[in-house]
Amino acid sequence: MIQVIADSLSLGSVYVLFSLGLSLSWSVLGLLNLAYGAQFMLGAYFAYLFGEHVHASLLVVLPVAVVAVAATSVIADYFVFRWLRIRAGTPVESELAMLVASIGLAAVAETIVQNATDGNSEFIPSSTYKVRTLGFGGSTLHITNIQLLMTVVAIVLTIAFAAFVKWTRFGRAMRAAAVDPATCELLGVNANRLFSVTMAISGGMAGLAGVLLGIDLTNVQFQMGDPLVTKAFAVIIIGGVGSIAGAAVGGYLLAFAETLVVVYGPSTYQDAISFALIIIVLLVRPTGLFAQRRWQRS
Amino acid sequence: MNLAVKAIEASHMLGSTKIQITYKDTQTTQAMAVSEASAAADSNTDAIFGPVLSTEAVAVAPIVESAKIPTIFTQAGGPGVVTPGGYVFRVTAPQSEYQPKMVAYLKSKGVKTVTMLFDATVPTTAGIAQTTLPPLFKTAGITIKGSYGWSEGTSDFSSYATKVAAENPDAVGVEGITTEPSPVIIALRNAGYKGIIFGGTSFQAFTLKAAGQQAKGVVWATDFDQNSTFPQTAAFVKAYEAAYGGAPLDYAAEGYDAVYLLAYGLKDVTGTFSRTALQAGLAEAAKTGFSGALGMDVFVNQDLTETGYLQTYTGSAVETVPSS
Repeated sequence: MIQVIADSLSLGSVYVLFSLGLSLSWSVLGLLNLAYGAQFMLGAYFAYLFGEHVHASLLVVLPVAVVAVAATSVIADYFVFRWLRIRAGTPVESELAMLVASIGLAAVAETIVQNATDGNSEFIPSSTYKVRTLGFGGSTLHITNIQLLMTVVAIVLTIAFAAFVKWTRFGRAMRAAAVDPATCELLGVNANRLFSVTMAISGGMAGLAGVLLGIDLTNVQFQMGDPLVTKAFAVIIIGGVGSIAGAAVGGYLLAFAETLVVVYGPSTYQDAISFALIIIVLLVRPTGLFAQRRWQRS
Repeated sequence: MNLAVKAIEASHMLGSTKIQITYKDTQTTQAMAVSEASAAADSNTDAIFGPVLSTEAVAVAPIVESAKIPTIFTQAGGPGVVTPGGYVFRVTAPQSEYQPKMVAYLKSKGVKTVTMLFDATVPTTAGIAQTTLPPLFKTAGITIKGSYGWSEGTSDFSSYATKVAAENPDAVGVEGITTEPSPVIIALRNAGYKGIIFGGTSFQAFTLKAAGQQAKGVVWATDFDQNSTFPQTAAFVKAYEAAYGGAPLDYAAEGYDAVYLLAYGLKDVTGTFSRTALQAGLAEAAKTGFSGALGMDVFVNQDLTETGYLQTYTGSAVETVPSS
């Protein structure tokens, strides 16, 4: 059972790391960013390029990949999403236009990497980060150092991110813009700058997740982010859109349910669990487990 | 395939006749594969080299059969691809044909129990794990401790490895697509599993490279032996390495032989050329068989048949397991 819990924590950390940035862009910008999986893949691909060709260590690869993906995210916002927000007549039109555009951006990024790699899988070399198995309690518990690192990073990032959003001036501005961007601008908040920074943070988190998961999964492949996008939607819907704690709880809850199905049930139903949980949450608590309450004046 | 076209032209095997191949991307979707096959059938194309995924091939086969356009498949090893109408050929022996060699190897190593891990969303891998291997294991006196499938896109195999490590079978079979062998093997070894790991054609040097030393000693059955001394195989490997700077995979060998089947079919065409005449020529070529990159290509009912080879990974390279 201890190993099952460790496996769940490890898988849950994968989901949490992947979901935090997506949850941010969704809640603040209203952007259901289907290019997020491609951004995640770019993080892993940058790590592969620097690891394989520059022989750089994780300490170098990680910041480079985070900054590179954050930059691509800001560029995408500046040249695509910002104009769609400006031109859209209503928030719903804006969200729909950005959703469609994000599909296009994902296709562009994936095609570039597909052509660069001939569609093959690559992997981040051990010179960048040597994965080792750590044994605890004799042979009762096995976990790799990268899984342990991911779990620590996921927990620390969740706490730090929640504190940032709740207690910093910028975090408060983000929360306010998520509810009413027009009023925020009237109060002196530079919405475009806020959105760019939000996209940078979201992209940076995608890059960070890409590097760590790229090492853990041992495969860097142009479509590697696609399956995780589906899982991230489940995590965010279960936890509640816009809730950092919700994303964390949703991620670990989903991972625990999936692991239990694999270990004690019919393993092929692992994916069905995600959607069953979404349906249950939508029926019982449509706004998610940790939904944020919003007030709106009529 | 381009290498085969060049070799055929250089040898003047077809005289002044040239093979021109147009490549279409099916985008790994059944709908696109069907659309492209239908478009090719409606055009002046003489023959089709079919899509490599079984899921696409089974959808394309009835269309090309009904349009009466000769079609040669490679890789798509699932059932239902080679339809009985006569226009469909396959230059990849179904994996089911060389699994007896794998099971015999396991038996020779004293394996009494196995657990199967497989990609449940791919008909070929699911079929091998759930349909092909169980009766072979039973005949060999090997007990299946468990059989667990995952969905394509599964990223973390730790929980599967935990389950296998708890069962601790003598051997574990891993049937997946090319992105899956390394993560599964790494997860199994990290979970403390020390037994034999065996697999299918997704085990290749490039798919095991990420696992490195953790994949040392894994064994698999395949239809292509790049270390073979068979003259045509050796010549193909040499030409491929000279052209592309690396060792060929089974995909390349199968594609090479698929083009040669077409060339032999063209040679056997009698009378006025038509798709029907080409189908008759291909049927004759398949009936006769030929020496190709895969070895001696022998066809039964227009489907390549092969007893296969066993290969193992040293941690950095692929070696052929000597036949016992």
